[in-house]
Amino acid sequence: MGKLCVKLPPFSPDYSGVCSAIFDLNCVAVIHDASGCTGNYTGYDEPRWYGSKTAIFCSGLREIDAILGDDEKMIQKVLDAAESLHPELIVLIGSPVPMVIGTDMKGIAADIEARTGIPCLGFDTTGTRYYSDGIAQACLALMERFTQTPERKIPNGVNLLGLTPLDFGSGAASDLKAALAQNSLELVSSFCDGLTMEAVQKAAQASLNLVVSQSGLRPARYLEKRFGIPFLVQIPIGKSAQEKWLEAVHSCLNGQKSLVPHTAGEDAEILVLGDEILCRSLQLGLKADFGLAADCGCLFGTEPELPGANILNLEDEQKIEETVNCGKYRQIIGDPMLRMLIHPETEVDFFDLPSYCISSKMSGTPPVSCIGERFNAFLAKTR
Amino acid sequence: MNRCGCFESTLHYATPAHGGWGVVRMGMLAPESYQLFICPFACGRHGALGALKQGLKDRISYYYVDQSDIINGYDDLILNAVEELLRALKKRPRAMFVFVSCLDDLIGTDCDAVEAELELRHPDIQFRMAHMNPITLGSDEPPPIGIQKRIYSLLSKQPERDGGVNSIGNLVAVDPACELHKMLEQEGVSTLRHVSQYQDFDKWQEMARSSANLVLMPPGMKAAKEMEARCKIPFRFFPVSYDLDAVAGQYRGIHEFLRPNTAPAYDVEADRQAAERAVAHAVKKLGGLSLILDSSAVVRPFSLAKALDKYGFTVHRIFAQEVIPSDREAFEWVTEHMPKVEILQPEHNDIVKFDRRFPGSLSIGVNAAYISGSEHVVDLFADEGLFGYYGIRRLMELMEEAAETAIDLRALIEDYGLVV
Repeated sequence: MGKLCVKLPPFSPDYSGVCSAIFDLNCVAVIHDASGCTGNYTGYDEPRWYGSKTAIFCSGLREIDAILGDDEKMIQKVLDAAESLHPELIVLIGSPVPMVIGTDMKGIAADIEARTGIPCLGFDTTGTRYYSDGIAQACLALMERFTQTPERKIPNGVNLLGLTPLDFGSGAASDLKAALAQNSLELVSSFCDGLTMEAVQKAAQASLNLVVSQSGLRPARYLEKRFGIPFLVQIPIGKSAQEKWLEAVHSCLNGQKSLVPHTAGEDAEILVLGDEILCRSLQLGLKADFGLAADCGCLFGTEPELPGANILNLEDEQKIEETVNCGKYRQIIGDPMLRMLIHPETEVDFFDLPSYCISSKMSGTPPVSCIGERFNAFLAKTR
Repeated sequence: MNRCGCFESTLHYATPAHGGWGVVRMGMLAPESYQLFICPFACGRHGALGALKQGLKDRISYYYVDQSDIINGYDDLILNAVEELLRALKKRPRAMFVFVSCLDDLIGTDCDAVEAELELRHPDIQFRMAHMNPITLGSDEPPPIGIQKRIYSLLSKQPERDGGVNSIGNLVAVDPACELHKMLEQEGVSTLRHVSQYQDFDKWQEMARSSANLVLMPPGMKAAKEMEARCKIPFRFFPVSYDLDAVAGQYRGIHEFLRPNTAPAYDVEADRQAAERAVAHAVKKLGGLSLILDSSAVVRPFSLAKALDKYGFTVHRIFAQEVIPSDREAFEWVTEHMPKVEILQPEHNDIVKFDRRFPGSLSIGVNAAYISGSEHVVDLFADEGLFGYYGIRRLMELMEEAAETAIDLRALIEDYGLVV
């Protein structure tokens, strides 16, 4: 995020993204921090934490250990936990202090793997990047390590990439999976909602990757490069847009070519705020179902390699505030917490679409699913 | 604890019920103060969302540093960030806490020089460099102690004393129903002051005119020592106790501290008898119901266990991550005299197995309730508002209420807005 931030809370960071990605796996995961970073994740970045038995821990890093570079203390704690909990995987996750003192998270992971015989992944997360970067790092590491070259492809098999509770409520995730099933598409692996080690291993059996958030983009590019699996970048938002999305899915499957649907540039009176892929998909839905043009206000950075128009990089609070109050927009779709940036004199209709990565459990609004025609209902209800 | 009776150093597990006030909420106790965090954006998320939950977000801002800033040092950036922030604020605060995070302990920002320069540039505002650095937990100045020290350092030495007395360390004022207020009044004390009672910075300065500080929670000790040195206000430590005899001793101690060599002006006997009746009633009502005690509910869980055992309750389990010095004697008593009591560390990595479920229990504290799956819960956090015989009476009432009802633990935890 940009420098001075007066009104908004900070968004979910990279280490939370790694934790979120591996949440469903039978692992022992450790955020190498004193306590606050782990508190961010368990308290505010993981809607599934309550009632779960996921073994994600804090290393309890202390000043003297940081000064002396005493990694052995953490290593011994990890070995003890692994002996007690019998994980299939061990994950080490960096935070700001390890970044400052140059802790070699990958090197420590290799050491632990050698001592335990259990696969161990290390991540140099820093708390200075967004959750989407952490999810992408985790997915890539899992794929590079565990995804096997398939003996056969599943012709109608698809992976979901970037399906994270930090962007999607449980209803939206279910709707997305239901949309696949209803259209005779077989879900091979879901990164990272309901992920299993088996699903990671067989991910390359899919014939198409469906990228549904920015965190899925780098894994999709990796799977395309290594296994030749094409990808489609779109969430099916809106009734007509979903029909077009389905056509695009079959086009990608049949032609085995990647596709990034996008709109032509035109003047917009609607602004959508959030993850770039979500914004692009809302933009496509508004165009296909209502004939409306929208600008994408990307809050977590932009993907310059993707073709498209009306893409704004709103990288800090000042830019978001200027944009929502610039007088150009009559309607804005975004997390309800972004309402606090709208000046009293700005006349705009705001549609609440909560994102856990922004407002966590503080949105004051239940999660919303905009998959398929639910988007039409969402707009009709709130208009 | 392991079989040797030692507390183990393991990976830390954090339940959804783990946490407390956090330094942001504590710092907000200082009236008309503002907080600016200089840190990677990630460090601010829990504090900002916690502040939103508490309705305090309009008093906190962030200046995010990136890897380049950290490498180059950000002393100058702090000065510029404060300028930028003050331009953005509609009202100038009277005091500003400039927080840095854990990583700052390792890069050597000259906090004293920055503080001095800020006060030079903005003489109408008192600046305090503050630390949200849990990396110092276990040291002599972890964040809860450091922030209290800085809060009370904003009180200026006053030329005269008055008849008031301060309570320090406790984050919530002692409940008005507590006999401590009556006792102090009859001892000639005009009022028992607490920082939470003030909205106005100037009015708050009257705490520096008080004649004495009663330290009711351990994290306030360092602040009280500094106030003694700087403002000449003497202090004594009276930690919250649920033991009838200990409370009697505390009231004698308070009297001797405030009015040495005089006869007590207030007779606490009626309050003691009321507490005794409440204890007897609760013992009868709860019968043999197993109790689980939690250091998130009471600062000294072993002292509470000892008292409850003496009263005839059945203490089954105690959750404590460590033993604080003022609870050490009780801990040793419990291990010697209550050998059947389980002592568990709530952050131990094996807690994640959730293999110590005990639905038919009553937990005093939400963290214990979450881990144990207790149907009955006393939703007490850090002895809030309790002291003396009133504290015992109120705890008995809460235990009786909890025994009669099942609580929505999830709603309770989320409503409290716990911050690690």
